[in-house]
Amino acid sequence: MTYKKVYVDRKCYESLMDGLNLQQVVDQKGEFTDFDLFYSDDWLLNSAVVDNIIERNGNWDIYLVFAYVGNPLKLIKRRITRCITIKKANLTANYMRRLAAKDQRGTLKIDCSSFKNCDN
Amino acid sequence: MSDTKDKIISAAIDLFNEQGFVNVRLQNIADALKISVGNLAYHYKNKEAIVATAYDLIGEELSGILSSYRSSPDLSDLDQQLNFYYHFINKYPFYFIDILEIKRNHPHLHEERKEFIFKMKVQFKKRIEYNKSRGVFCTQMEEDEASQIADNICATITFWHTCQVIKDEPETLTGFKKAIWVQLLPNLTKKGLQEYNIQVLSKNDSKY
Repeated sequence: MTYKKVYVDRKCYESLMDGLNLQQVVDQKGEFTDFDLFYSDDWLLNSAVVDNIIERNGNWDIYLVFAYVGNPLKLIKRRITRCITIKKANLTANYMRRLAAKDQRGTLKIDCSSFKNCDN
Repeated sequence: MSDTKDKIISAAIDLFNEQGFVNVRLQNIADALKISVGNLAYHYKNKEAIVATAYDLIGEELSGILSSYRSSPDLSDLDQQLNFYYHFINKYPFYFIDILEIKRNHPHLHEERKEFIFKMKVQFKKRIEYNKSRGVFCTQMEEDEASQIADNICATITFWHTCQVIKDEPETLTGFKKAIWVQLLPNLTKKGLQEYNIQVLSKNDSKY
């Protein structure tokens, strides 16, 4: 059986080598700002919460989306619980959202225009 | 590949190394194996087919050497790869000595070689860039300069054996590595020299 030889494109090979270089861990002194990821969660106190129910494997997963009021692109989505009926899921999601949100009546809104979506 | 085919390729490579690529005929290979030319032609139609198979074998070995890139994050990685190159050169000297003959007679095989040379060069260049980012090589070095050094190292690897044969000098591992390292040493920083002493010199018998 003969195999056809395949050559990697030259530019691709160069970028592969770059990738290999990046893979190596180089001992460098870190910055304190590197830890922001772990403790900079103040923005969650000032976030709008939206519930999101998704059907999966015959059950209804309840997700809560926390979006920062100042910048809606800064958001996290977490699965909270799972219900067996849509009715129960809606009710639970409502309670969960009200528990998590800063303003329980839901007056804090995200401005959708901040996303700057292009309709084209 | 069958046993006989392996033996034919092995004998052909030995003859290429001893007598030179152009001087070997099918009859010589058959004589070395003590078989008839007809029997040889049953396995390989002509010299072209033998050379192509030998080149496939060589290509596989070269790919193995190239895949040893960045096996460790220090200078010992380069030293290790030089060891592989040295053993490869000694195993297939005709690949380097008869380079122009192969280019003239088998241009498609030469194209393959060009790909390997390119990869070899890219690896040396990227290795220099990587070591620059680690503070082992001088950071003032321009990209062009790194590329030129990589080119020079590739030329040394390709023609070192030929030079030794012309000068009638022995092809020692120390001599080979010295020819490469002297091109890199002036660009090492203080940290680089320390690493070189620990990672390279301490693992080798003599100083380059």
